[in-house]
Parts: sequence; C-alpha cells; structure tokens
Amino acid sequence: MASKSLMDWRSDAAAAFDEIENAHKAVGGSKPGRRFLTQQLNYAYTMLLAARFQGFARALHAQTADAIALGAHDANYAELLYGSLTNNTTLERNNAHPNSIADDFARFGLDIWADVDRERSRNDERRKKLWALVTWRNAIAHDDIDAKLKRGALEPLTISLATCRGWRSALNILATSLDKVAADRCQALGLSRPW
Amino acid sequence: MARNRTSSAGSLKVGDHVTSKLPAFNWRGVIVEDLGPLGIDGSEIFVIRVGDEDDGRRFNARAESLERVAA
Repeated sequence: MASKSLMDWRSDAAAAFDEIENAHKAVGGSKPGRRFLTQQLNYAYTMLLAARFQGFARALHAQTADAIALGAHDANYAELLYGSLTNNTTLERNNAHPNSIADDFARFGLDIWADVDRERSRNDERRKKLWALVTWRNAIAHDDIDAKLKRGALEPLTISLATCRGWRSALNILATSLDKVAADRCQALGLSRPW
Repeated sequence: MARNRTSSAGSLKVGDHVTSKLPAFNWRGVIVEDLGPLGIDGSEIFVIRVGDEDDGRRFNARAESLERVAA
C-alpha cells in the first residue's frame, strides 16, 4: 500500500509528465525551429518535475505529521502536535532540494536521507540527480542559465529529453523510498502503519 | 477571546477566517491553502496563517478541527 501522496505522484503527476512527452512527439521532425521548441519543452519539463516533486514531498510530510498526531492520546494534544510538526515548514518556502526535505522530516526524528539511502541502493546517486534538477530549475526560473554555466554550476551542461526522463525515473524511485521510510517511522514511533 | 463563530467546518475555503474548535486553542487565522484530502482518514487538510502575511505562523489543520469566524 502507498500513501495518497505517492498515489497522486504516480497518477496525477505522471499524467502531467506524459503531456510534456506527448508535446515532444507533436513537434517532432527536423524542421528549422524544432531545436528551440524542444529546448523550451525540456525547460518546461524540468520546471514541472521540480514543482510536482515539491508537491509530493509537502503532501507526504503533511500526511506523516497527521498520522503521528493522530496517535496522540486526546484531541487537544493531537492538534498541538500537528500544528507544531507542520509549523513554517521549509518545503512550503523552498524548493524540494534534499536539504529542505531533510529539514522538515527531521521533525519526526528522522535522518531521512540516511534511511532513504539504506532503503535502496544507488539512492545517493538519485539524490544527486534531485540536486541537479533543482539547480537547473532555479536557473530556468531566474533566467540565469548562461551565468550559471559560466560558473560551472550546472550539471549536465544542457537538458535533453533523455535528461528529463532520467530525472523522472530517479524521482519515481526516491518518492517510493521516501514513502516507505515515512511509514516505517510511524511504526517505529509505536503507531500502526499508516499506509 | 471572543470568536464570533459563524458556522461549522463544512465547505471551508481559502480566504476564510477560522479558529480552532478546541477550547485549548485561541488562535485566529486565515486559510491560505487547501491541501486536499490528505488526512490519513481522508480528512481535508488546510494551511492556516496566523499573523502577518510575511511574518505570520503557518501550520496545517484538519477541517473538522476548524470553525469559520467572521472576518
């Protein structure tokens, strides 16, 4: 079983990503201008991946906090706990880069990336891909791609459809691992497994 | 704290002024985001802001724990 956050990621977010993939096919061919069109699509794909993953991470954090708060012995304590666990979260203000996720999930007493890395091999490499995605997302959003390229701050140097697909694949696996680690944490706190 | 309660949690929406139904809490805030049915039991979850737009405290609350109040 998966959290609602993960189910939404696998359905709603995946459908949105597929729309970009379909748009790529629609502008297929070798006519002049295609390269520019697909570059803008790849930038849109990058923004969408980052935005949707932030939405997933926020939702998973909210659901985990809710599950933990519901374990409280009375309604007042549950509300206090839920409010405290979700108070001014980093993921509400910042992109879902690994440090934002670590900050917010630390409220549950988790070293989230240590657990995620243990959960599946090569998740450390996937986390690096998340960093690369968010760095590119910021460069696109702030219109400073060239400046960041000159500083060597962007890796890879260009974004292709294959790059986006690689990021998407990494996020799919990270989302699954994050979902499992959050459920494990609830169980470790003496609660029933929430999903 | 006088709350001027106006209705129960039904059909709450972004922009509504709300307070907690629980007597242990006397905050008064505004719904700034509807996160959807993210509660473990499908409960609607809202993001509440208490205080200024820039410096205010923001936290999540379940719909059933909220009560709409006059603005």
